[in-house]
Amino acid sequence: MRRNTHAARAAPCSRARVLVLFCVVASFFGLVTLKLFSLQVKQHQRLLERADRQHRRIIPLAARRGTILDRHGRELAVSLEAASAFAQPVAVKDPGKAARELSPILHLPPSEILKKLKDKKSFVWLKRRIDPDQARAVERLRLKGIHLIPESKRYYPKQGLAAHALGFVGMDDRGLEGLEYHYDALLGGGPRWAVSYQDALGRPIFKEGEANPGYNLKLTIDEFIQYIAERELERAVEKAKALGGTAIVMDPMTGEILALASFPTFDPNRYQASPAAARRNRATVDVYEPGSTFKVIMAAAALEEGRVTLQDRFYGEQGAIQVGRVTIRDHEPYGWLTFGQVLAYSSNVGAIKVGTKLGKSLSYSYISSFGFGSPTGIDLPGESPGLIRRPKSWSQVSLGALSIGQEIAVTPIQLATAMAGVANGGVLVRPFLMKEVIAPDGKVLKVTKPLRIRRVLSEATSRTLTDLLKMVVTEGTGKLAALEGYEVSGKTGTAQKLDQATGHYSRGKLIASFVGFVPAGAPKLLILVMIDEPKGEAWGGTVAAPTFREIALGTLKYLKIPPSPGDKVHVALKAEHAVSRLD
Amino acid sequence: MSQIASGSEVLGRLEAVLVRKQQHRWIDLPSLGVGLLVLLGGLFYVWQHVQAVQLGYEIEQLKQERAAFVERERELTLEIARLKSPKRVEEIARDRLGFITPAPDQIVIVPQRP
Repeated sequence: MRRNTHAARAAPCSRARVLVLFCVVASFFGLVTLKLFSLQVKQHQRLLERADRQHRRIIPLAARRGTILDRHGRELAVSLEAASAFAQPVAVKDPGKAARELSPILHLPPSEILKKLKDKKSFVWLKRRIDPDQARAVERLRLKGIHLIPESKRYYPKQGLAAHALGFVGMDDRGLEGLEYHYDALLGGGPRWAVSYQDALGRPIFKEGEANPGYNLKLTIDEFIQYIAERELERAVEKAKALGGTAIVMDPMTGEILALASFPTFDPNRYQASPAAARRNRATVDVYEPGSTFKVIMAAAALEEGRVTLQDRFYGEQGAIQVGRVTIRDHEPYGWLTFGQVLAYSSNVGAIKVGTKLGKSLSYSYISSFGFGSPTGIDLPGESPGLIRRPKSWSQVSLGALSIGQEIAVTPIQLATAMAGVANGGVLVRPFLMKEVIAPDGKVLKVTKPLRIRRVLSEATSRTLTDLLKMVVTEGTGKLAALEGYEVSGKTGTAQKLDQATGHYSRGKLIASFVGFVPAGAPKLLILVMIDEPKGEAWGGTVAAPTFREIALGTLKYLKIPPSPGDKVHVALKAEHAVSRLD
Repeated sequence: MSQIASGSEVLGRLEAVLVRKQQHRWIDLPSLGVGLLVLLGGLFYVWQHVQAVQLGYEIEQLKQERAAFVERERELTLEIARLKSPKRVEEIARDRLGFITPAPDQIVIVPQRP
């Protein structure tokens, strides 16, 4: 009963407390509700966008550039990640302090950094592609407004090897020259941005999107053959104290370029350190008058058209012939020469007579058909088409001059391609450097098939000419190109350069060249060597032919191409002869 | 009598309490269960959310580690390529190891057995 009385007394008091508590809680919830309404309804859109900005961050990605490999998968150009430091000047609180702290890390003068930090731009590069240690040091500073982004840095591990074919990339990781430029779209990859979701502390939780690395390219170039070509070319240029030179090694059957060397050369890792002249790909860009090597083309046309036969004889006029108002001389006076001897001894007089038999129209037709005057289509940028005038603008001298490789400008790659047409049975093939496109996962996406452009000679003419060109090496001007155990077909060339000052052919400035193929019966290699302005004994046969020989010898050994049995007998007989003489 | 009466009164009260308790049990258990379920559901929701964030951190960390290893592998591949440079190999073979290029008459080609 007492308890009931007590409860009755406490009831009004308790109710009042409950009421107060209710009011407090209700007003609290009321306030929360109001705030919620304000946040969720009134400011919904604005806050959503703000949160999104805080949680999502667009981050730049380094889309790794594809690797360039040689024909056996050896790396010629590789990309690695390298951080680049940039600043958002507006966000930097104390530019002076930041400049002082960054200076020793980035190895830049504080004044230079300060100048960048005081820039009015919203974004300035401080230093691009820094070392990992530098990047870590910048990160440790935790400076507001100073950031790092991953970029890609291109490395050429073999330094100058195949530099002219590979080319190089610029600061923005885009190809500027060579294959890097030509296949930039394949090598480059993309996209270069991703969305990162992060927490309040800015730690990444989840990243949306990956940078697609570029495709890898496998080239037709063989690293070792390229090295042999470059080594021998450099030796030849230095020995002859020449301005420069070019060497091309090609598979004449398919058009695959096995080596493409130019000298002087450069290191694509530090391309800015080399003069522009050293970076020029002489094999595809430079044009020159081919001289006697061009006699092969005119001889091929004359044979194919039946204008000359192997039995035809040509009088050498004792070394001089009048063409229009010009007298063209031979390096030695010759009497009667067979067609083969005209080529073997590289008689200008004989060649002019062959050209005359062929005539203007057919000459032009064959010259064009062999690809002169138009680019070969090699997959390199800036290929020159060369220069050949139309017959209607030819002078009285032109046909004679063309017969000995003057009044025409060709690129080394054009001449090599035309000669490949002679070597492979008469088909002009397109020279190419890119063999395969390989996806980052290793899947081969594309294989370049050899492209036969057109038939330029019959197989019979090709065989006949191959035999005639053997004579050049066995008994003619190209003896220094001979290889023991292998039959070589080729042609020497010594062309006078046109003196720009006088407008006349220079006596002292020459281009010495040799173009040939080996083994002659079943050609595996077509090699062109061109030396620009050699000094001293500057004939194609003395300067370029030995270089051809050294490149051929090294490459044949490397490719394990054995000497032909017939030539082994020849070598053995020679050895026996030498022994008997000793006896 | 009064003792008996009070005893029955006590029994009556006890019974009432028991009945009330029984009534309370019947009313409270489902709400308790629902409450618990809601609480568990809420906890599970929060837990999985926390787990997702935690795994996100871990995945990102592992991705970074993987990328670092891939990068290291590439660096080593590059180093191998540099060391295998034909020029360098030839210089070592010639100058340090004393190798020479064989002359043509020093090469013997052994025919394959049929």
